[in-house]
Amino acid sequence: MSYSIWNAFQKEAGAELLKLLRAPEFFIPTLVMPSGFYALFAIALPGSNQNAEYMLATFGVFAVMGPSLFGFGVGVANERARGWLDLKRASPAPGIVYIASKLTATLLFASVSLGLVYVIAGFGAGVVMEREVWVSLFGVQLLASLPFVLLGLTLGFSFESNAAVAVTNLVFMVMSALGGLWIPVVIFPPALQSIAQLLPSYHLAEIALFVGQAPGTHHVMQSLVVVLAMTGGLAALALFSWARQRSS
Amino acid sequence: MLKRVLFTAISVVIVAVGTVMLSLPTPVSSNETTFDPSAGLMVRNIDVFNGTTWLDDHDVMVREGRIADIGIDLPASDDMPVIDGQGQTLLPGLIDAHTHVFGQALTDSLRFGVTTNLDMFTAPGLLESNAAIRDSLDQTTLSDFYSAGNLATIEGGHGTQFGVPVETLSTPEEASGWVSRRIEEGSDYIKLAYIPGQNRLPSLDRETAAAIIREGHAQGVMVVAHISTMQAAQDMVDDGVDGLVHLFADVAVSEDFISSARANEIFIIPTLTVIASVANTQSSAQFASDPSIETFLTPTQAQSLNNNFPGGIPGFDFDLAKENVRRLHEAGIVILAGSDAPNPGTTYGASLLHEIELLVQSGLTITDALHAATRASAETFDLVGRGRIEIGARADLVIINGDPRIGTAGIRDINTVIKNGYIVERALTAPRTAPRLEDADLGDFETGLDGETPVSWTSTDDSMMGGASAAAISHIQPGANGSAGAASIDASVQPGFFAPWAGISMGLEQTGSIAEYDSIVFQVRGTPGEYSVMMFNSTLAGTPPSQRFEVTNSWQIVSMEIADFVDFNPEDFVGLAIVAGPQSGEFVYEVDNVRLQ
Repeated sequence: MSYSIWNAFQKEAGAELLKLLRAPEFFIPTLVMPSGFYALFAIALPGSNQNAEYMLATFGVFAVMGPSLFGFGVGVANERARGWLDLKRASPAPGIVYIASKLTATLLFASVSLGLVYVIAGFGAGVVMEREVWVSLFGVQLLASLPFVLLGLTLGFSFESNAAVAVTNLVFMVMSALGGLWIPVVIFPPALQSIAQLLPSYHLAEIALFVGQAPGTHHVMQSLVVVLAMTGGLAALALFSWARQRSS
Repeated sequence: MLKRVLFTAISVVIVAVGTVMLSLPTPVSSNETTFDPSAGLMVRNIDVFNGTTWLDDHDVMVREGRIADIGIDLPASDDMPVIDGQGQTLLPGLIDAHTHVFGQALTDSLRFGVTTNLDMFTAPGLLESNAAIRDSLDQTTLSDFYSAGNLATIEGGHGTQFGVPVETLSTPEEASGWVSRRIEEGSDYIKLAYIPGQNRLPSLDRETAAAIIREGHAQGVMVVAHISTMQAAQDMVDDGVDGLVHLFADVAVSEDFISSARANEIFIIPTLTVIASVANTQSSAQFASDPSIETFLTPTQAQSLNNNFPGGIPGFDFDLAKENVRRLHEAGIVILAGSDAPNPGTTYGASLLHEIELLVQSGLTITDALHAATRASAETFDLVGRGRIEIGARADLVIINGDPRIGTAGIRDINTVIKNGYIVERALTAPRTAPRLEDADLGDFETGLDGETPVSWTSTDDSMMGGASAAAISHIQPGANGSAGAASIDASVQPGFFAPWAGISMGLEQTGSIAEYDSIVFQVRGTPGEYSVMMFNSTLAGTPPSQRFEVTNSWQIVSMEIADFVDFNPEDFVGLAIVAGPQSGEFVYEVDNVRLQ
């Protein structure tokens, strides 16, 4: 990258973070919700302590999904509505800077949210794993934010800000609940299990479960292929939505 | 300023996440039951019996599942776990030279220090991957075993009465093929049952037995024989058998037998435990009540030890047996320690400790008895690396409290069992009951005799015990009170066996616990008379617990309290039978809706 783009990126990313930090009423709940849910499902609910390790894998995906979907989905929609995107388009900084800075902020945000879940898992729910497993699981889950970022972008480019909030919430809930991020998919009736197969959240969770060495068979290669395909599809979709809203 | 925000944020997140990652809990080998194989294990200052001789106050080092060094004041790294062996004795993992591997055999025997079992008849299905498993040095809760697989017996003969399908033979010409098939199945040696001269069970004739011995040798395996009389033993020795898996207790051993045994270099596994049980000496019940044994017995094991054979089987004089052992041992015949578990009065593992004591009672020194339970069997059956404590041998070890050479406590007080270099958890955790039998519906016979449950229904009659009764079963439609189907049984009960029966029985693939149910209920109609329901536990016993009931020509509901089946252990349910008998006659009846409530 040339100096000016790098320069622009740093400033833009810094600005994104500042924007986030200046809205604690937004980011604190969003940060804490996954850990709260995890604590509920993995510690507070009866009979749940055997599943804490399993849930770490699935709730980790949940934890990165929020910032990705909302940061990009709602964030982008709002900025579009306020005309901010038009302003950005007029500026000399290339569009990649906008995306990259948002991505950076989202990843940092997601890391903290994920980290909180891990703290609860390790020190509250009694999960014990090899160091390599902890770290690789964290890495995999962080990477899992990418498909959701792309999905978020698509939503952000396609909907007006109010609609975007509603739609993003819907997508978020569906992905989490039906993707088996809160309750394992194996408990679902067969019809719902088939729906889960269509959701990226389910496949990302399968990969995470495999990396986290959870018991049970997880068809990781299958899920990996599906995730890559879905990510490619989502990237195309995001690009398409971006092009479409640009011309409108 | 914005750049500063960015880099501050990145740094803070990296440090925070990094700190969390480094402080998250990782597994620690907290309890002593798992030692990292690379760290090994050192036992210091212990009296060692290496399978043949004693090495007092020695150190033994284990690495990667094998004995790495034996000596005095062995050097070792600081991180190697150390067991202080002062006041204790180290033995090689024990070898039970005569058991039958079923159910919990391998876990139960290991908990009592028996690290290798020589099985003398089990279902051949268990042998498939056994060779690789027993060579492995991975941590395990299972004892290793070698096996005869399917034993050689005649149709209806010894071995066919246990419900395990057995490929029988009756002529010398069949021997070659029969032996090949055993070797193919994975049998490590051949066992045959030769019991002529009595009319309780049919037996292979001598020519066929001799042919089996010849074929076994021709195909490269040892052949051992089950006998119960000196005459039968003599025949087998003369025909070249390698060893006897029981000692006869019908007569005093003759000098002729002793000299032929010595000349033919045969070995004998006296199985005094089971002789003591048949002779009703109550020796095993006393043994079972010793706290150092009792604490580690599962309920099934305890029941097995306290069971008795049906009384009055001739030819089992316990004192004679012990005397025979003494004379054979003094003549230099190789004696091996085997328990014949899980016959009544015996159980896996614990009974080998009992057998060692009975061998000592017969006149062997404790050293000889321990040799018979370790190195002697290993050398006889060519079990490489087993039954000995020497460099390179498997790290299968037993630590006993005290010195068995002093007093008569034998080796009952086991401190630690080590298998493949790992300490074995001896203590029983939860009550070791079988899983609860979930499906209370044992037979509704709606579409056929067997439904979707893991239950199979077959005909049963005393012909398996040499009786003359016969039963045939079929599925009929409709069933009782509008149900789609029922089981129909055509039973012909004839005198022959002392307690004749014929009818239908049901078996489960795996034992289940029915302790939470109160009663067994079914519907029946047929030839009027008195019938019985028998309930089966997985432990071999004499007559199964049973209750009688009346049948009439119209459908009746029969309900029996499970608790009323005397000596039946509801936690160990493996099957039941609904049969006619012992009254003779022809009985045609139908059974439907068999269930637990």
